[in-house]
Amino acid sequence: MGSPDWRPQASQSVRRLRAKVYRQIRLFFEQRDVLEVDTPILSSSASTDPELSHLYCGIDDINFYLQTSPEFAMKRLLASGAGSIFQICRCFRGGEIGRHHCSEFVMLEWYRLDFSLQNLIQETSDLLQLWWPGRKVIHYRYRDILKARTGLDYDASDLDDFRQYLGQKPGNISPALLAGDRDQLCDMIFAIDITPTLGVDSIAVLSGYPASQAQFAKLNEAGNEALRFEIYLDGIELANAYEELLDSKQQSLRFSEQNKQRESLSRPPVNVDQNLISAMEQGLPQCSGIAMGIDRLLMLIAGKSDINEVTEFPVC
Amino acid sequence: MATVSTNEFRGGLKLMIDGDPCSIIENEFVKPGKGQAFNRVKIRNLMTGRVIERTYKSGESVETADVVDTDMQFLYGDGEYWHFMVPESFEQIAADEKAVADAAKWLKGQEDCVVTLWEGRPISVTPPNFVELEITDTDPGVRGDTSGGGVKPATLETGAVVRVPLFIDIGVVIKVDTRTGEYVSRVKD
Repeated sequence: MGSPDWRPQASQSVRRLRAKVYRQIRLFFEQRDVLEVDTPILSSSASTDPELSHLYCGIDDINFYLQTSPEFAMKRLLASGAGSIFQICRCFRGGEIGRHHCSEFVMLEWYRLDFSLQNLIQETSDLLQLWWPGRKVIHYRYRDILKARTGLDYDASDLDDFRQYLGQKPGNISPALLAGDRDQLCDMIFAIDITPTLGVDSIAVLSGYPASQAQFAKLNEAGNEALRFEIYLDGIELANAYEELLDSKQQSLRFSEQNKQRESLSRPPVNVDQNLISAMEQGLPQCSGIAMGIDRLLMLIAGKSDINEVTEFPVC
Repeated sequence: MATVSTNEFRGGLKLMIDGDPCSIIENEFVKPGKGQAFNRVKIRNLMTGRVIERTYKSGESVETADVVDTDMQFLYGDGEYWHFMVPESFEQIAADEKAVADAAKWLKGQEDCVVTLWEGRPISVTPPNFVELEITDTDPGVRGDTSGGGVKPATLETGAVVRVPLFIDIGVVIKVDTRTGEYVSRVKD
């Protein structure tokens, strides 16, 4: 008898659900005149996100990154005049393995020309209501919910207040984590105490992120908030959206800032996507974009608690 | 000092926490899409049996514990120590009451146990899942009542007390599940 490990871990009903959800997504965007696109998974440049570990592949001395998201390639299409576009594709993030993480996963990413974040929140909830008809959208703002749930003030509280708060939590948080900066400490508080409670019987939209967590989003006029939101369902982070940064100089600056952060975290710097910078110099149309984890979406629809119950085989 | 990265955390991995050897029960990877990753770990302290929680930054290194599970046969107890032997090498070790703990009540001799050694010293003993022991004391059996339902306490030759069906008598050898402490069946000669 051979090992039973060759068998898929997803059930036939989940397999059918996945096929159906893909069809529903494609129909949803076809009806809204959003074009499906297909960009390469391999690239000689990649996301500079300081918290991402890239997977590589190569031959001889030539190495390619496997994409962590199709963002840059899709933005080059936007700059070339492709119009509103969506893509369902494989993404890869090294070291991310857990109940809600798989190093290889499926992303739905779409960009809408002339959409504000409000328009995109509406469209995203329309999409999610295909599977959760009648679920209400509840809005939360980053600084407000932090204050309401913990008493901490993102701008005014001392770093030691954040550390003291986390230090009292069960789970003995290690000194290496408590040594983090303001955003890292807040991230932990959100991940431990706040986001797991969002989107219970609702579609939770978290917005008003501090400017330092803008990534590739525009800032508001006051310059203290990123035009960014995340979607939470049943406490699980499902999607992240930006009103996209259009300024190529700003983009360059954020790339090099992120590479510096990577260095301070002892992560290798990443080749910056010069093609994206050139495309943005040419001109990216005003747009909003969002990335949604499809395996997590399937998990939630199927009522599963582990991502391995909706993916066919474990990555390893 | 050997260390291990959180990336290699898995159930059963042995770590040194606050000077005690511990075993990972559960490892949860948490990462906000745009934030730093961390691992929430449930750990059993192998000395006290207590379950504790730790939260590490992903990629952080943690000291490993030199803990080895070894198959050994129980030889005899001398009143203070329980003596075990590795069947292949005849190497013997003596475990104290703290290490043997609850396992003692299932051991009469020749059982194949798992002895957990920390830096060569025994810290815990796991008896076989099933043991066969003779009943030395119980209320008289109720003849003909083999239908189940009622139970009564019975003392085994090792001193352990288990609940057995009413029809079981003194002198009968029974099979017991040591994980639950429950009667399984009579053993027919």
